[in-house]
Amino acid sequence: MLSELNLGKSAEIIDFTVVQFRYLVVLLKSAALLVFDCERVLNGHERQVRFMFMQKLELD
Amino acid sequence: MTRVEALEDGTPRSLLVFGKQSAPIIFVTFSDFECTMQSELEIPSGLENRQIVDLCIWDNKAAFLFDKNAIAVFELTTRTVVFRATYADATNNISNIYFVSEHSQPSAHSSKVAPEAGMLSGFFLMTETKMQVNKNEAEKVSSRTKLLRKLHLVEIQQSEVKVKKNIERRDRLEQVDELTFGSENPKLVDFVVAP
Repeated sequence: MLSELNLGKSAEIIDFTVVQFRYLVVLLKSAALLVFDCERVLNGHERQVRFMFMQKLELD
Repeated sequence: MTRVEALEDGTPRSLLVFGKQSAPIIFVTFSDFECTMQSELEIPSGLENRQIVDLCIWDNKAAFLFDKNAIAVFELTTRTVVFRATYADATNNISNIYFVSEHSQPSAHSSKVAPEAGMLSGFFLMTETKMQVNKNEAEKVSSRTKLLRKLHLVEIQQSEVKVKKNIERRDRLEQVDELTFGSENPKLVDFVVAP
């Protein structure tokens, strides 16, 4: 799924966490956050995690 | 940015994102479509360029452990520091921090007077490790091994002191208990179920 976003080298995963046992948040090298909704996968309804959005962090 | 940490229930879909250095620590909340808020935590003076060693989160608070055993507790609803102290009793660097709620404490501490409203109370369990440099390695590749040394149970203490014109809040960390490991190689213990 990351390859579909055409992020190149900035797609390198630095860290990740799960919020409220549902949302997978991935921190990329480019200081962007990728957010996925894992609920339907965890319930067994889908095999692929739905991508919600990607947002670059605003750093001063 | 090197680390992302989810906050516990009580804050809607929230995260903390930060790097090796203390500044900036970014507080993020998000909805189904976007990040709804990004704001930086207000780092207290003197800690701006310190390294972040560990973090623990409870309720709406986050305690950051900085190098040189400095600790700052942030109230995440206001993104400000509510407690700041340096733990000086350790003989080495503290490498892990964990918050112990007062409710989980044994009765020995329950006899103390309840803290005033708005004051932070509780305990930190902290791990002290000794960094050992392997001298057999070449200088360029000096490897380090972590050895568990001590566990410190430290109480958060806040007091209000009247100064000439205003009331100042003083923060302090005081040792309550200490567990020292005599052997570097802990042995496995078999538990026997009583008949």
